[in-house]
Amino acid sequence: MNEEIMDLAFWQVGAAYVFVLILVWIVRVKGIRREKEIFIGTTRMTLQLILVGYILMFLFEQANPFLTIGTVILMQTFAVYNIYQRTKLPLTTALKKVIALSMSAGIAFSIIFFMFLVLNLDPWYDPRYFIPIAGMIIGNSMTGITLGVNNLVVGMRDNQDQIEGALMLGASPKEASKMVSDQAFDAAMLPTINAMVGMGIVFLPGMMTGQIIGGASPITAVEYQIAIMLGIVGSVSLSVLLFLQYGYRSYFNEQAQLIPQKNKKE
Amino acid sequence: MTAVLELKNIYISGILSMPEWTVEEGSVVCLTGESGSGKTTLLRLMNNLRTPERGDVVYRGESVQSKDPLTLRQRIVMSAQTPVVFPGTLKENVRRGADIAGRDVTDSEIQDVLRRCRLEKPLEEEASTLSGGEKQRMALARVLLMDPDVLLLDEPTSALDEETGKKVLEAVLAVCREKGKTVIIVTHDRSLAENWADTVVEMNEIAAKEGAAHE
Repeated sequence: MNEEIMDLAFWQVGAAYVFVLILVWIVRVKGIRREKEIFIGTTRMTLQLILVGYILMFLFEQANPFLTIGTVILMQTFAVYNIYQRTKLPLTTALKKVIALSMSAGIAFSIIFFMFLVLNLDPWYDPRYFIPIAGMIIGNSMTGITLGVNNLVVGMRDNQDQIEGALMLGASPKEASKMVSDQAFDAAMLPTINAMVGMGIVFLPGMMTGQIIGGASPITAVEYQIAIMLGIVGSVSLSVLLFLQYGYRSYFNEQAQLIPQKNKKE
Repeated sequence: MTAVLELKNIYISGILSMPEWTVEEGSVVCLTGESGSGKTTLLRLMNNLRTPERGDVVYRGESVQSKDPLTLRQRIVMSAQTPVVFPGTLKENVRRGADIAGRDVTDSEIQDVLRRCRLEKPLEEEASTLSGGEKQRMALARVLLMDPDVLLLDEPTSALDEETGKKVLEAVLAVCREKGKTVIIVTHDRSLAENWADTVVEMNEIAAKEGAAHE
């Protein structure tokens, strides 16, 4: 089962934009005033995807290990930067370091495990597999860590009295902040767990859909999907565990005192 | 009498300035004064939850900063004005401090300490459902059960009516006297201070700020 993929003609892609025009018209009639945001969103999506299409074509033609690894490092850097931008409260330098290191370690481990043990690519840097799969692992880990980071920073702020109350009794910083760390772990893992629970019943995952449209057998697509999902769970949980294991420490000094935090982003 | 705690030229900009102060072992010290005069900060310094900008807090001849902070806080234990409620039952909350300190306690010990604090509620009741005054008594029972060397109590009965508050504190202080514990308590109750305190320290906001300005 490897049928020719149905290519979309230029006018067909253009026709999809009619939906956006209808949306803009409805928004205008309803007086919701979001035309600008819809226009910017649609334009950005179009330009970004066209650009990434050409970049991927270039990378696939080159098939160079340095280019493949370089691309993954670049994606990883953007993901870390994105986490810094998406947190609700200011992050200390120490916490930023923990985020970057835990995410890099968790993702690197998952990617190596996945590419070399599960897929066993030949050549190992085959960009057609390496880049999109690494992208999925990085993207999902980014979402998980962002949730974990937000829950940790907000939890540490909102539960200061309780954390100090435990410190007053001689609890260790780890013990005092355990409740916050546990909640952050749950919040970080929940979207991935929900995705696994609903997969195949509530929705067909993107990669699987893509492979089926691309002509692959549904069974092959399912095999890939199961493997990638397990890779994502591993990466998210490892990154979040590492982050929480070291993240809470940045809130305490060597005298096991809670360090006062800034409450607003600059 | 031996000194259990010594404060040496403590200074925190705009908050607190104290020259020399010694707390004798087994004594009851009452801290009084307006809000903002640094009473809570002083307790936090002794519990090593905060480090002064200048000066030192000495516990039994050694700087608190040279000691393991966790062990120190199990010996000089503090109870905050807003009682801390951990998730779980009344029993779990009361024994939390003793658990941290690695002290084995029985249910009858827990019931006994709760009775002394005038809190007679089922041990399995969810702690979060207790009233403000009950939570304060629970927090008092928690620190008493830890059997520490020094108790730092920050307005421990502020949510109770005057009559009950006095009875609870008198019962707590009686236990501490009996066991030779040192108690430093922030209170606005003049009669309690007169009847029970070996030393009353009036923390004056203006004096604290002026002292700070002279540094």
